Amino acid sequence: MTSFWSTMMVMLSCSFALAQSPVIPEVGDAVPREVRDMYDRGLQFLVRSQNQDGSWGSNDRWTSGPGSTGLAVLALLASGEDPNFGLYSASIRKALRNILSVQNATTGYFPNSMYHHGFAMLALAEAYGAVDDRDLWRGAPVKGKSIGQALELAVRLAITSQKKNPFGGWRYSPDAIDADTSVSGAVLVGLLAARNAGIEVPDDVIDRSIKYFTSMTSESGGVAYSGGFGDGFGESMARSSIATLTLAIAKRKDLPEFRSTLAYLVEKLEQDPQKTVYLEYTLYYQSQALFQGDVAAWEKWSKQLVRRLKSSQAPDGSFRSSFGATAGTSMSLLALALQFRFLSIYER
Amino acid sequence: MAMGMMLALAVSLAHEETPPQVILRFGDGEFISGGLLPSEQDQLIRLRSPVFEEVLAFPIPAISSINWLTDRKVEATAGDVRLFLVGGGSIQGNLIAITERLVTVALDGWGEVSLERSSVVRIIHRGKEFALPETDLLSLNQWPEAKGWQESSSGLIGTEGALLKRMIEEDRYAIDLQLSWVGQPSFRIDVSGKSNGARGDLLHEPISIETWGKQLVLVTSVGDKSRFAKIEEFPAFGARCTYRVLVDRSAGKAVVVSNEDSILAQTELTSKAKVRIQQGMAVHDHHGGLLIESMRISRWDGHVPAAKTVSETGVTLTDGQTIKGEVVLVDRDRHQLEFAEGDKKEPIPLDQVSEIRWDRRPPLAQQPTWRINGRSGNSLAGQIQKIEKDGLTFVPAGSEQSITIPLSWSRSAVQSSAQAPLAESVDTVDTVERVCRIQGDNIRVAGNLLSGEGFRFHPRRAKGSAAISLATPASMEFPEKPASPPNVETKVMKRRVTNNLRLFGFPVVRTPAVANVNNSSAPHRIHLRTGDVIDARVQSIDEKGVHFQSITTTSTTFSHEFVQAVELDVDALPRKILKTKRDRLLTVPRAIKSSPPTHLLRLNDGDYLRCRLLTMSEKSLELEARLESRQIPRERVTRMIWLRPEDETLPAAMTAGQVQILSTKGDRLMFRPERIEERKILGTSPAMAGCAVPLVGIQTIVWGSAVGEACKTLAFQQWKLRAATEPLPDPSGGEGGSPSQVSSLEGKPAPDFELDLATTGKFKLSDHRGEVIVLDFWASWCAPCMMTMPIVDRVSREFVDQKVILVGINLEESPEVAGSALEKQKLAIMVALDIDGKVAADYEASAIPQTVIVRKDGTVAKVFVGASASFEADLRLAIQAEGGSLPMP
Repeated sequence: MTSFWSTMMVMLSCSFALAQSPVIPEVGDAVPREVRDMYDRGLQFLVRSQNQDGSWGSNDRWTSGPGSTGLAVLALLASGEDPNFGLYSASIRKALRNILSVQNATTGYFPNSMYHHGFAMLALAEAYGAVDDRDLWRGAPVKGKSIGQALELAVRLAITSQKKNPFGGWRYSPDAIDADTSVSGAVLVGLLAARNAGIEVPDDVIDRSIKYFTSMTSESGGVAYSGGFGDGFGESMARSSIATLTLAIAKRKDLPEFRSTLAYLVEKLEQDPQKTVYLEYTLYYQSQALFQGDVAAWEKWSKQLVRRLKSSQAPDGSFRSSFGATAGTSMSLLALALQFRFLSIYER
Repeated sequence: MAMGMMLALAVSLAHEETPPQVILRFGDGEFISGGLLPSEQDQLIRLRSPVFEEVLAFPIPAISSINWLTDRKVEATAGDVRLFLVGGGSIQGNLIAITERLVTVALDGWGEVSLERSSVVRIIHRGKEFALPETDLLSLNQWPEAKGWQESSSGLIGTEGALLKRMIEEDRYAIDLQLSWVGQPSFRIDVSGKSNGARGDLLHEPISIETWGKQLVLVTSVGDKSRFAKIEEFPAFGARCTYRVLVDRSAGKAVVVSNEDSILAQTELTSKAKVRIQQGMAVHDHHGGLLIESMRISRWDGHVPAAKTVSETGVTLTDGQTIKGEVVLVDRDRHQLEFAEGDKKEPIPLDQVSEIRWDRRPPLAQQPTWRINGRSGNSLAGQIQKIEKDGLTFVPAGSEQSITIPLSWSRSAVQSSAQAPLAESVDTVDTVERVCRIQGDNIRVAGNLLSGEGFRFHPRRAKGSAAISLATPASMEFPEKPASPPNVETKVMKRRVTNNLRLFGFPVVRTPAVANVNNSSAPHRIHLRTGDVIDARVQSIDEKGVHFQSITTTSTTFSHEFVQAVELDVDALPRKILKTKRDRLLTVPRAIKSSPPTHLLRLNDGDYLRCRLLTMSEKSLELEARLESRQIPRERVTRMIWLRPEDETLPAAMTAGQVQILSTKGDRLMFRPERIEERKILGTSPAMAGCAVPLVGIQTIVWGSAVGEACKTLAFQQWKLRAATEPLPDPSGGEGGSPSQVSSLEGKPAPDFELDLATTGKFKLSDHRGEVIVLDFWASWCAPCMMTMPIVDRVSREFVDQKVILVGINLEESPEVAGSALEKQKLAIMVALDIDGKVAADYEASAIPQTVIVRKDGTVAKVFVGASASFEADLRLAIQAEGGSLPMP
């Protein structure tokens, strides 16, 4: 299966990014105006480019789907605007209806890969409770599920999928019997967010997936992609970031693997990404991982992030990426969004 | 509104047909190229040069040659007749008609052209069976040996010592030559000679046309004998000659025939040797400057024109019979010509005619001054009258009517140098007295700047002047010695500024003692990227730029993109910096190449600091080094250099519309020239406000991209960042670095070395013959090295009992730094310290990690640069191949 997300399979030797100029606030400081402007321009691009059905992108499976829509919803929610009455409420609600409508009503699967499933689940979890969905379907010919129902269904699919998986992780297909740390990261963060939102996720599910991550982590803080270290030792800032982030959100900072992956990131704070093809994906995770792991390091790193994004933002507000403008823009904005911290997943 | 007009102009220009591009050449090496435009006036050429905003006009007599710039090479000749014309020159085409007054031929690329009969000397009819074997020798590929020649639209141009050589199969042949030259000619054309066929070998026993001082002679040499005959003296024909040289090699005979078919010279000297030897011909241009405008070789029937008959009107038939009389008509359809003798008219089939000629013409009242060379080796002599839209109006020599030569047919037009006017075209313009010269790709012309509004130039040979277009890069050179000494004005102008005028070109007082007194208001110096230097008081730096006060300008801020360096302590002595240190300061590691340092600070203790300078206040600098924010007191910093990549050129916007003036004193000033008055160029600069530059102090004025070029030599411009060398690409396309590139070292003796070990003792490579040595080049800052080293260590240990030794060669770090890096990795490796990087250089380790396997005999077995997924296995195999056997699992 070649979805947009499946291209990430080869990604996992990425690293990171840098750029030009401004002043980054201390934690709790007001967001610098230029960051806010950058963010707003990006959101306006998303709103302008949203399809009539609430999704983004064309039929291209590489750039479009519930995962992409979910990331855009997250970027909109992270702005701090009221999701029910604010500037972006219409766009958010349209996008949510789209996510809910593409979910398989029986299995709860968000096609067409577990990447989409993970990011869609994360978006629903963040929207759950924040977005008033009592009249989400008003006027629609067929009334769809509520956010809570869809989220519960999605969580159940993820749990079932993990049960079938001998590694305790996830791969592209819900029925896969192998796993990789990239898809597993997307699903696990979704599950953790759902749990934070009050959906029941059994501890052993989390524990088993954490175990999968720790088994894939080396002492040096490098994280393998799939099938153990024999698969190559190429550096991947994205994978080490995913591991750091999942362990942090799972409240397992006590683990030596957390310390080693975080140290790996902090040590390479200044480094460039080796492969810019996964740049936005890397920035998205790196920002969250550093923020969760080491705020001081995140602050330093953010200076480069802001410089880089400032120089790469297109005049229309978008950030072009190898995953298309929607995902590129959403992930770039979400990397910046740690400055506002309106999403509950960003809480430390 | 103005914008609208400009737009309309642009649109109309876009619709205008592109004019033919030409180069006009004048005497003494001056030239200008551009689009040739039609002119309403006789004897005037209008040219649209990219160097000027307006069209320039040049009197035709002032021009020595016009060359059409076209990719089209000289084409093969076509047509059944060749017309030899009065005043030299000939054209080949298909004969259409001969009437009592006109001869009409159809020429390739021109169409039908009718010439007055009075301008035609004779017509050679080649017919179908006669229309060969003629070879055009104007293409270099006709010459197996050609050196120092250049093909051009005008023909072959020789340089000093140029040589052409080829073989000739015929025994009797004719060579048609048309030559011109620049300066005193010095050439030899061997129209025949014996060759052994070897390259570069001179021809023996040649028959040559040679320059002997002021004469051109025909020389025939056989054995130790030679005969010569004078052909002509130079002044008789100016800078051009047209001959037909007839050669009968067996008979040792050569005849030089003029364009009018009269014999100019002949010699005969028979060789006794009957051995048949390869024949060749050669052209030697001794001093350069010879232009072969036409050179064709054809079979010769052995018939030498008889001097007494050629002048008579008549025809020669193909059987050699000559008939006197007048040809009055060519009936092309019936393929015959009508021949009249007295009242009797007689038709003669065209096929039977080989030549038609008329009486020798009376001497020309006016010598033709121009020769137009067209396609296919055709040329005409005469006078250029005018350039019009559909062609060049031309009066052929001997004719009174003008003809129109299509511009697309012309390759070059040359005025005979004997008549080329050296006098400048005098035109009443208000020029300033200092003569200067504009130089660029499209121009080299002397002239004067004009007083008045704008930045106007009067090329000395042009009629009128034009505004200089600053969009086309060029420079203006002034002669070394100014016309008048600047003494009088110096006192007035010395660093005093009134009305915002920056007076420039006079010594700026820079001795420390004086500087302290005079420069109290400008203790600092700002160097702009354009090369301008401003004495100022620098107050602060922030994201907007450098804020300052200066008496030389009303500006108070320069944005970062303008600034090259700021000297906070102008009296700081220059420090010598080792090349290796400098290289290190300017090399951007691969890992941070997308966010390189932006500034280099020199501190007062001589240290350098690479960083991102964020702000500077009166007291301190705030900067970021390796993402750490730092503050340092301002008094510690002597200078700040803005770092830019090596290949970054000056943005066009920075120089747009401006000129940079370089004074004889070495100062530079960049501004927008607005007018010239009282022998000063006045203008404004975005950086400096008002500027006034006396012409006397100017050495050069440059504009466009020429400014960037001119700035390259400035000291602060030498500080350019360069990216660290990238590892060799992975041919397998896999991720990560790649091993197993074939290095030039492989198979060669490993360079020997002796280095201190990080612990104690030394390691000398040649002491370890008989052992396999694994050299791992690394440094603590190299993340990929820290990834590969554990693998190299692990694999090497597998062979520990097999006389396999791993030595980590640390690049230019202290034992403490190297030791702590290994400790972090929990590695116990023998580390040798390559303090000065010499060993790394010997092993070409420009990108690390690099792993080298040295065989037991001391030769290099394998070099790995970087590492890929299969590195561990590859390394293991490579060590195994050198005799290491793996222990049983």
